[in-house]
Amino acid sequence: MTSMVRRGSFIWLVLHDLRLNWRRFLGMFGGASPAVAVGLMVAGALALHAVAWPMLPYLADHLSGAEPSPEGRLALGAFLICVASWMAAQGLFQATRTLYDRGDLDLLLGSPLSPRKVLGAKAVAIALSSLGSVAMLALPVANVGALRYGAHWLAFYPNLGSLALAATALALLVTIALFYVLGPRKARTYAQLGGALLGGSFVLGVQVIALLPEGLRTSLTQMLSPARDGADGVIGHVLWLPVRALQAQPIDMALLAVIAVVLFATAIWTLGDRFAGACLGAAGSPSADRRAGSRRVVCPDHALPVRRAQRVASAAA
Amino acid sequence: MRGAGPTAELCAAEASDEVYGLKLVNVGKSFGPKQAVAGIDLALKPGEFYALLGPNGAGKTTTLRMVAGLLKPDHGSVSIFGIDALANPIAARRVTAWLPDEPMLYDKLTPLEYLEFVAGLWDVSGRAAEQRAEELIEVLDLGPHAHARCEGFSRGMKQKVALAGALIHDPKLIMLDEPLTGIDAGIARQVKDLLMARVKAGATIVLTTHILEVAERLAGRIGIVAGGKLVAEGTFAQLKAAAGRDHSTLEDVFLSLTRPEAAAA
Repeated sequence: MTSMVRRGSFIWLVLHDLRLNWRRFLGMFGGASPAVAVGLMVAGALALHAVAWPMLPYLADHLSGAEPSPEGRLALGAFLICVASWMAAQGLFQATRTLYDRGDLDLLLGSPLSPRKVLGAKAVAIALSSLGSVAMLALPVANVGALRYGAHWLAFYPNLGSLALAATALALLVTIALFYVLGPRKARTYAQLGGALLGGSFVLGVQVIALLPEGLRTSLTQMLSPARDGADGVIGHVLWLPVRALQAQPIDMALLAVIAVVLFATAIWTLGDRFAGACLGAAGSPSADRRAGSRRVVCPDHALPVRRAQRVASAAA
Repeated sequence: MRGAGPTAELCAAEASDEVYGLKLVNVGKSFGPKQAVAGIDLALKPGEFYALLGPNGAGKTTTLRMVAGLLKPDHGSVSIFGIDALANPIAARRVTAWLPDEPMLYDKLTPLEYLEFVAGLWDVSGRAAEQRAEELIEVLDLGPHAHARCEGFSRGMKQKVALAGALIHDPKLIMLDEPLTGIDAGIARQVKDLLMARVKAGATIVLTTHILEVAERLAGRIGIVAGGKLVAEGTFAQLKAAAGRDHSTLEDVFLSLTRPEAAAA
């Protein structure tokens, strides 16, 4: 597929990453043929759809339609916060790994491609990976919902994509900002710590809501729910945008998508050179540290440890 | 033979506007308090094979990474075939190849796919890339493995694939960091022959190696780096004369320049 697009283009780089990820993914099936691996994946997807089927009536009662119950809307908001925080956590982990594990960055940054293009392709790969980690569980619900209650459930697809782009932009911004503010070593630790906390909030958020006393939950619901007369105000309107988008409101879906794409593009455009600088910075000292432990000197056919080389030199003299 | 610092040759070249394959002027780099490279000057002509020697941590790799655009020097200038590599890094990278000591290969790609990808990075046209890939695969004897994924390859095989990748865009400046480490004699011979052919075609090659015999046999000039400085430079004969060891090996010369106490013992 990479041969169908212009070599060296952004899409070409993204397709290259996708090809590698696809082959790595197939490798997880222990040498099974692609056909067998795809068969197993289809079987797994069907199993997840079967699990989603009995859940749908409950979810549909609360979440579906243009005017769901306040509790339903609050639950939808909580779900989106959890999804976004999970994606941001995944983004932080992967952006950190990209910076420090380097992988193919020497090859890419040593080529005539612009750092922006390289960062853009890496960021798309991060966004797709973050999306994949949520999509596996969320999309069966959307598919079953679409089958049983209407096509508006398919709004999950574009909206999760928008959230993945926005979360990746945020993760890149945080990772690179930490690098420049705290330095390479501390930045790595803090980024991973932040990622763990954000990822944990996916589970913690759900538990906290479930454990709230009934009265408090009702008060919160009333406070956070949109005004029934539709007068949310500007802040309320913005805050509830993702929820409305998930309810398949076309204008809100489009608005969310535009915001996400603009955020993502701005992050790539403004951070491209800084990303390259951070990569080069991250490459400096760790390499020197790594080699300090294996100090060797030269001999004609092979390297010798320092002490042995000194003994050889002494004996020769 | 010269020590570190600007030379009469360099000054003359500047005056005559001679184009060098690689020219470094006072290039330096520090990592925090540690000075990795302390102002190196180099002037290599097109078609020159140059070996950069030095103990671990001497600054060889850091120097090459700065030339490859993978590290930004704190000071100094880098010129590659007349291109200011700091002002115009993209143009400089188009004519440069950099093979690190632990080259990155995509385990999930075959050598042919890898070469196709690298050619795409350097915008080599499809037909030309295919032709060069076939040539390199033949010269490096990679034919039987051209369609196998790199994940099962030995270090020597990986090194050959990475070298082919470095040469696919027909670079003018080729920098190789320990290209022969860990590969057997047969493969090493193939690599040496390939590099010499490139030099004859006008490419400039800078190579770091721990195998002094390679430097002695292949390089026209040898530079010895210690403590981030170029402590000596010249042909093998010039280095021996400078070290006062006319009948010694390059190893003796190297030790006398970098570890005088070991050489004197």
